[in-house]
Amino acid sequence: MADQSNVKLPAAEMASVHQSERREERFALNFDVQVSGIDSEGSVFHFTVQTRNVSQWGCGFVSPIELRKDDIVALRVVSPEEPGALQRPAIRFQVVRAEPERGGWGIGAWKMDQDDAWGIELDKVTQPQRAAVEFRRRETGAGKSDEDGDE
Amino acid sequence: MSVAEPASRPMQGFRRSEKPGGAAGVEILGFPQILFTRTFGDPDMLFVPLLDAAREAHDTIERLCERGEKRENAVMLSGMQLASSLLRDSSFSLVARGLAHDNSYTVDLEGGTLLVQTRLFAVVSRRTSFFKVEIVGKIGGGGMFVVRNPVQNSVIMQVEEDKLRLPNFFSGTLAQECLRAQMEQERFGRIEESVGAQANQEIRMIVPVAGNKVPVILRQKDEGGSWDIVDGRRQEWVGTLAREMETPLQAVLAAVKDLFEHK
Repeated sequence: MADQSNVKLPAAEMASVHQSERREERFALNFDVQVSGIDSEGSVFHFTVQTRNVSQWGCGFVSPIELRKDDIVALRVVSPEEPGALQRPAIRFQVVRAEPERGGWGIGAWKMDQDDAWGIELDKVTQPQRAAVEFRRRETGAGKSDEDGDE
Repeated sequence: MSVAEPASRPMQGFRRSEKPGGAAGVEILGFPQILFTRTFGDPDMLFVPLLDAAREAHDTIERLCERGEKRENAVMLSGMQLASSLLRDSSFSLVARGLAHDNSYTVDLEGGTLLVQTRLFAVVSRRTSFFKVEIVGKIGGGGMFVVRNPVQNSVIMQVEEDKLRLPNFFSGTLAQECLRAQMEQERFGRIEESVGAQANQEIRMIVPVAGNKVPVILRQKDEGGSWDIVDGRRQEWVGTLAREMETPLQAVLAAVKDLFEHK
């Protein structure tokens, strides 16, 4: 039987694929990302955080402000080593998991746009967190809620 | 503080009606996916709260631009806020583009327009007529919404936003208006079928009367005879053209005849 984590769906399908099908490899990479959105008062917020981990279609980070499930935020990689990084387009992510934790809210987010968010081939930089993939596979197989997202 | 829920929470208006209201796809132009609802897509349920939510998003764009945000960025952020507010309602979910929906809503925040594509029906004498219609208007408010027949590319009516807010306007008033427009169309069709059957010469025209477009036929049954004036809606004789008016009419006919003989 084929390893489902290696099955690549087309980008258009990945953007809206059912979350139980999202068995991507995660990488423990810390990108500086600027997160933008509109708060409940109608004001724009921008804050910069480091990702805890990323996959091609998702990421996890700690938000200093409350984000809720199904909030949509724009993420833009900000890398001081890359002069043109600020010119990167913002990519929309849907919050699929938000839990309060020390220092803010632990966020798992899923990419909505088909554009590449990270600008690098993740598996060429570091090894995937294989344990996390196996864990999620077992969790999904056991009928757990499919809304765990990334992180 | 949490994000993306507008202070006035316009989408809570969904639940104002108890009846289930069909499926719909809501496209926010520039947004990568479609927001889909299985149960609240009927225009009688979704149009007003969606218009209000889109208006709030539209106002947000202007406010953000005034505060120095780039317009392109403000449009994107505002679209995200609108999508988030829709997703607050559990009946909405995200779907891929490219699927056909019973009711389709397109929110153009940059252009400031809302387009609704839907299908209405009216039942008269146990006969049901379906009408595919498009309703389009400015999100900004104050203007008229235009109701079009996309098949015939004709305008059915223009309607004030206040009327669109009346309960059951789409399934009631608008459906009946579509039926009336179709009946007029059918009368025109019957006129078409009668061409040449009983006339020596015939001129058809549309005359605007008190805001309505009335089909009128000028018909000369016999050569050299008088011209009847016929109401095209009911095929009723309503009068005879005055003799002094026949001369310019004959001039028009002669010019057209000449054109066709020499083309």
